[in-house]
Amino acid sequence: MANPNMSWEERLPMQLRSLYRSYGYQIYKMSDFETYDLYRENKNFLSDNNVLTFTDIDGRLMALKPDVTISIAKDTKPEEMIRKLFYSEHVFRRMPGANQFTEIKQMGLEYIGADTGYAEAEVISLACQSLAAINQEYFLGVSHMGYISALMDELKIDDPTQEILLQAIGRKSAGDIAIALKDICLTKKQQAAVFSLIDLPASLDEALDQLRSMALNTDMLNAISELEAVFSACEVWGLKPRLRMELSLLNDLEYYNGIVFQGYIKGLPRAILSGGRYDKLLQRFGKSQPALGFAIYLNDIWGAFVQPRDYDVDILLIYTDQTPCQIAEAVQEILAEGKTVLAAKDIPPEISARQVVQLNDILATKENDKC
Amino acid sequence: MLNIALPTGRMGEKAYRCFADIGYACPGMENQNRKLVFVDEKRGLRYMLVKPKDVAMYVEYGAADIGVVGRDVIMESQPDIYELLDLEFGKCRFAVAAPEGWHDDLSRPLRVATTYCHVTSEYFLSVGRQIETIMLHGSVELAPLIGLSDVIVDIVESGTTLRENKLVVVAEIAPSSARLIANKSSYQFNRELIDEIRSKMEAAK
Repeated sequence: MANPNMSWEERLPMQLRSLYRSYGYQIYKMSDFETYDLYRENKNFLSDNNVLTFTDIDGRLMALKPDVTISIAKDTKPEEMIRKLFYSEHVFRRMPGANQFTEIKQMGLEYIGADTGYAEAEVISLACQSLAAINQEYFLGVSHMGYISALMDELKIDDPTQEILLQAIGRKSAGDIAIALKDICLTKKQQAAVFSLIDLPASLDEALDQLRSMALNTDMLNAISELEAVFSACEVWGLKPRLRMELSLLNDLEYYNGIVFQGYIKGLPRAILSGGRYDKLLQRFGKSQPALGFAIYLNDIWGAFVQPRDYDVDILLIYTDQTPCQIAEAVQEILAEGKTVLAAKDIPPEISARQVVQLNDILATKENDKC
Repeated sequence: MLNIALPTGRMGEKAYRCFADIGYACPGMENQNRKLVFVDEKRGLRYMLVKPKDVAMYVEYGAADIGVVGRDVIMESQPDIYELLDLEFGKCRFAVAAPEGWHDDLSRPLRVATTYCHVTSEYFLSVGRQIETIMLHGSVELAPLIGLSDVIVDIVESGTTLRENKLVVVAEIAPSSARLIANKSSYQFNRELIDEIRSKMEAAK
């Protein structure tokens, strides 16, 4: 299947597709457009509120898709209890810090109907295997929105304070957490539980023990048991050393309610994989199925890992007045040797070739061989 | 190799002292010269001196693994980074300052001169005051004196500059001090070393 002449960026998506298929996921294709309202109503699900819009012929305001998961959630029928999908699409987003929209190549996987336990472990393992396909040196940071939201309920703080507190937790800023909580009367145990989120041991088991000892209610304890079950299954796959508890990792509480995770690769400054359990997104569309998934941002990868090529092509074949048949035979022979070939009448100015060959010379050599 | 971004100027000197005090000194750093990069091959350290407002950018984009930057810069540029420790020097505060005896005319938008546009708009949004932001690159204290703006939003350390320009603080926005920050991805891959630096600095505070 994999042709040696394919570049790594062409091979990787194929490798990932085949990985997802092997676990029973089917490809999902979608249109480039959805109505703008779909994204407006779910704007907090998107990492950035900017959507590229245009007016359709019938006057409806449309958007170039900034996301695929929302469409899958919308299109899932209430009676489809299990739906395992993967996709490879272009999404249109504003990149952080940029003042223009970018087309981003995104691959992702969604497991509609994913229960806790094995289904979560399977998705985590596929996330890990996807990262490993890019680079063996990776980490998957894992968090649990159920734990966070149960802790927030316990603190009984208003929404704006919670927002500020969550941002401070996301930056692991002990100083800003203290500022956010300064006017709020909390018990020592509650305070310790908040601060422990940003200071967990690197070891998975120790981190879980610390989180369990800080739990203030049964929801928090349930979240820990759920993570424990997932990690024990991951141990079967040998993935445990690649997982880290990272409770500063927060996705929007309006949509995400369970396990969430982000994948980091050595040498890349940002997370390139992001996912989690988003049962609440389906609930917003009036559907009861649980759902879990992740997306990989492929754009970030190419620049960092693809070595610039020394040559555009192996052989530049220059022909003059030979017949098309003669040229075709020569091209065929070069391809048969497993080399790439560009046949042209003149040397194209911006092409660099490993070797320039005159078709005349080839034919002359052949003539000599015959004699 | 651990890349460390430090701001040029006084905060950078103090920040470097923090690193030197816990055993991460780098030859050549203390000489007064124009070099911007200092490498200690043996220990695997590379210090870079960059503009204070750029430290967060270097760290967010992974050019530096860790850095030291004022909270004022973090509040303004909102980088996606970890903030690991409050180093408790370089203390200052964001404040709104106005000419002595100034009275806010609520019938029209307030003209605010600042180099911190984001902090300014967030603050006035939170207090519900409509403003017109005048973005400057320095010497904002001049703006109200010559009628370019009604008030300014700036960082205030001792208040000397304000006094010399006959300005007074009319509202406090937020406190600031130097912070040890880390790139979110680098932190995962260099966790042991970065945690060690943090705990040593915390102990040395």
